[in-house]
Formats: sequence, C-alpha cells, structure tokens
Amino acid sequence: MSALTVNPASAVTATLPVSLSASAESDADLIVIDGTTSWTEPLRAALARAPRGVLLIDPIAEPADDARAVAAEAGLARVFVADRYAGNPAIAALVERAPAALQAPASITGTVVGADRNRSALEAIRLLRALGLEIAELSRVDASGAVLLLGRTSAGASIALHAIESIDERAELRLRSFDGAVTLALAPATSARPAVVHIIDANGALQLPTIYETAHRAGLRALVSDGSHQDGFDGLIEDFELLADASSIR
Amino acid sequence: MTSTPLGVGILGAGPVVQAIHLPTLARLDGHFRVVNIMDVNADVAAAVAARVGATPSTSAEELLADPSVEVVAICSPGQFHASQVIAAMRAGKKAVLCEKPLATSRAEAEEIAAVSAETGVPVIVGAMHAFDPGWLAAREHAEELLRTAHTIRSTMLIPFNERFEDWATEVTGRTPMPRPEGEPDSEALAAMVNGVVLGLAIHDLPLIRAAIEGAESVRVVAAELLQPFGYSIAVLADDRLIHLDAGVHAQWQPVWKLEFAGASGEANLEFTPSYVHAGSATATVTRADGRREQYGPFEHNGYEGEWIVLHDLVHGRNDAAPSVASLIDDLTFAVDIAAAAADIVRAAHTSQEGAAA
Repeated sequence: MSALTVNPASAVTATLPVSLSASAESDADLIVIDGTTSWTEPLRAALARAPRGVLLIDPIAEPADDARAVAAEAGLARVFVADRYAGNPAIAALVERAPAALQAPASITGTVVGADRNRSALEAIRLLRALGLEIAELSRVDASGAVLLLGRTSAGASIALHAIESIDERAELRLRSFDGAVTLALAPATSARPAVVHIIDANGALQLPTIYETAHRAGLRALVSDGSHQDGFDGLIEDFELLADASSIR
Repeated sequence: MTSTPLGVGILGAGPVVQAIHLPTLARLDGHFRVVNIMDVNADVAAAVAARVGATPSTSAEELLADPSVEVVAICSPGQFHASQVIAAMRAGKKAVLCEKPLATSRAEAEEIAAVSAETGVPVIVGAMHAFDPGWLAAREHAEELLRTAHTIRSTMLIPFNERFEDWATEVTGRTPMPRPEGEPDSEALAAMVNGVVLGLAIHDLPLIRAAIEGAESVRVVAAELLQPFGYSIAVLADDRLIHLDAGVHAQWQPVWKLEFAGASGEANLEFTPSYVHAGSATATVTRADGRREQYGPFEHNGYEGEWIVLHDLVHGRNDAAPSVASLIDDLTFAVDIAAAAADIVRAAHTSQEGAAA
C-alpha cells in the first residue's frame, strides 16, 4: 500500500464545505497556512494579499522577532492559530467547566510525544496557555531524545513537561491538587479521535463528552464564525520567547 | 511445594507486615508458616502473632533465638535493617528477606555482603516490583527497548496508605504519620527529600537501574519537594533522562507507572497499589511499527514473587535471585540520588532564605 500523505490545509478546508469554497485565486478571503515548516515568509506573502483572516496550523517555533515583524504587517487581517493539541476543542470545553484542579493546581505534569522534541516542547507549553495557565518560570533539561521542561506557574504550581521523541504521537496532561485532578489525553489533529478528559475528585471521575472534531477544524470554524474569538497569535510569539529564554539545566 | 513449610520470623509488626506479608504468606501456606513475630510494642506483637498462631517477641534477639525460625523477614524501620540482617545471618538462619532499603549506606551493605559470604546465608531485598510478573514480562519481551530508552519516568501518585491497608486487613497499632511542627528549615527539607526517595522512590529505582546499567555518569540535575508530600527529581544518566515524580493526595485514584520511551517505541508499566493484593503490573509495549503488546495483569504480584524466590534460595535454586553485589549497587544508586536531591533542595532553600534576609 502506498504511503498516505495528507495535506493538512486542504484537509481542514474541506471540513466546512458550505461555509467555504476552496480557491486558488489570489483574492481568497481566508488563507490556511501549514506551519509545520518555516512559515513566516508564507504568512507574510499571505497577508500581502489582504485576506480577511489567516489560519496558521501546527506552527513550529520561529524566531520571535520574525514572527512579531510579520504580525505588525497583519493590518486588518486576523491570524488564528490552530495547534494540533492545544487547539483541541475539548480544551475549551474543559476551561468552560472550570474544575477546581484546573483553577488551582498544585502540580502540572505532561507529555508530548512526537518526532521532534523541540516541537513537542513548544506544543507542551501551548497546552498550558490554552488551559489558561500562565508560566512564570521555565527551565529545561535536554537529554538525547527528550526535553524536560521544569518550572512554575504564576500561581505557584510546579510544572514538569516531557517532550519525547518516539513513535506513538500524543499529548497527555495531568493537573493535580491535593484532593482532585484533571487528566487529558489528546491525539494529534490529523484525525478527529476525541480527547479523553477526566475530572477526578472525591466523588469519582467524570469523563467529559467526547468531541469528534479536529483542532484544525475547530480553529477554522472559529475564524469563519465571527470576530469575537481570540486569535492567539500574540500568545504564540510569547511562547516562542518563553521557550527560547528557558534556562538550561545540565 | 515442599512437604515442610519454612518457619518464618518477622521483625516488626506494622501495617506492611499486617497488610502485605501476612496475607501473602497465608496464600503461600504450603511454602511458609509464620512462627514468630517481634515488635517493640508488646501488645502489637501479641495481637499480630495471635492472628497466625505465632509466638510473640519484643526483641530481635528473642526472635532469632527461636529455633523454629528458619527464615527472617526484616520489616523494622530502615535504620535497623543492616544490623538485623547481619544478626539473622550470624544466628544461622537459612535466608533473610529485608524490606527496602537494605541499609542506609554502601558501607553497611558491603558489611552485609561480607557476612553473607562468610555465613552462606542469602539475602534478598523486598523490592517487590523487581519481582512483579508484569516487570519480568517486560524484561523478557522488551529488554532492548528498556536498555536503550532515552527517557524513563517513574510516577507515583497515591492516596494515603490507610485507604489500602484497611481493604487488606484490620490494622493493629497504627501510628499516625508524623507531621513537622512549624516551618521546616533547609536541613529538615533535605532530610524530607532524602526520606521520600529512600521510602517511596526506592520501590522502582532497582528497575530503573537495571535499564541504565553501565551508565558512566548519573547526576541529579533538579529536585523539588512537592507539598504536602512528594517530589519531582530529574536525573541524567549519561544523556538519558530519568524523571521521578510522586505525590500523596486525598482523593481515591492511585497512579503508579514506570514508563520507558525510546526512538524504537515505548514500554509502560502500570502497577497496582501496595497492600491490596490486586495482582501484577500490566506492561504495554509499543513497537516501532505501531504494534502494541500487553503483558498481564497476572494474578500474582511481586510480594508473592519475592517470597517464592526466597523459598527457592533456601532450597538451592537461585536462578531468579539478584546477586548481593547487585543489591549493593541498587542501594548505592538510591542513596546517591537521595543525597544529591537533598543537596539541591537544601541549597535552594538556603538561597531563598538568603534572598529573603
């Protein structure tokens, strides 16, 4: 069987066939950019076409100054970000429910497994931002196939996030308080396999309803729907800086 | 099964003995019979011994003088382990099972090794996960993956012990967990991290050491005490990452995992909690081609495993028993990590105090 290669931009565009019609024309209203390779120049070129909005999917880390310069050129266009894990719609559902262990965790541990540990490290801190957890301190331990990010949130919770190079791509997160926890298990946005989210307390474990929608589609839908949704591009640049500035522990 | 069960003497009669060893030995009653139980609290010794028809003792000497005691389990506080192991060997017993840690220093462990060699009395350490059928299956089927994993993570998130003890037995003489008074200083914090590594992390450190055996450099690079009781410790073994994460909490869900990840896949173990006799770990191996294999859960756990190995040792079958040299290396690995983590926690707290002054 031939290897299957999926174009994430066309794949996500096809999920909203009534709202959108695919166009190769230069006057497209919305432009989707694959961020898995260097994306600042494609984004700059897209913005030059004065679209109503741009969806940047799965962005890898780029120099923060370059990204900031592109953002300054955005003008009226909105640049949305759809991370393959942090953009999962289950995260927004969890944030809306606001369980105690999410509001005041004592400890946050997590794992992102992928082909590139630096990309996974970015994805790990993107997850915390999506959950509304502000990172105040961050350092990193670099090993041969992994990065361990250690730190603390602005509310004082300890952080230990693993970015691991291996084959079973996924993200997992556990936020724990003394008497409760929240756990998330996320599949990459290449499929609509739903996140598994549990809120655990003395009464048991509540599994949130499954949402069979990819992070990419959720991001595009937000871009299409209205302008009230936070685009997240500034936060993305802040996360580049956070990761770049993390002190190295050896 | 032997025709004559071995007589067991147990030093210490706390919850671990009551909830773990006595039920385990009851299941292995064709191999063992408990004949003497010692505790410094005479009431506890009498009450626990009466459960199994054993003789109560209030001193190690008294128990070791009992000729019906053929093998000895050391289940006393850790600071007594080395001297009691040696005393049991010198008393001419057939074998010793010592709860972890074997000793408090490499020097003590080497002394145990010397006496073991001199007397011919074997010793094993009750590192139950090292005898867990789930772990043994992982070693059998994923040895290469374990030995080449670039990332090893130990996660122990567990409710307070009482939750599990009370499902396994009826505990006599339980003493409340000591709580520090006031704000601990840097020395107290260092002692705490040392204690939690040797009391909690030590469960899985022998398994981790087995995976990184041969590493030229093992360094603790970060350590933090987590409130109210836990730790986060990062170790680099050459360029391989080890992260030890633990916390005791007040909800019901136990999480006890040991995970190995490498470029060619993952081997992840999920252990059952201590005390409750809920069978073995489940090992899940994910191969490079995406195939998943699951081993376990098996009916028996590592406690039964360690007692069976002790039984086999007495009867001259030692193919599954760790060497005394490896027990010393296990202890040294744990003691060194505990000390280095304590140093980091002490230094961080001292630095904070200095900044605040």
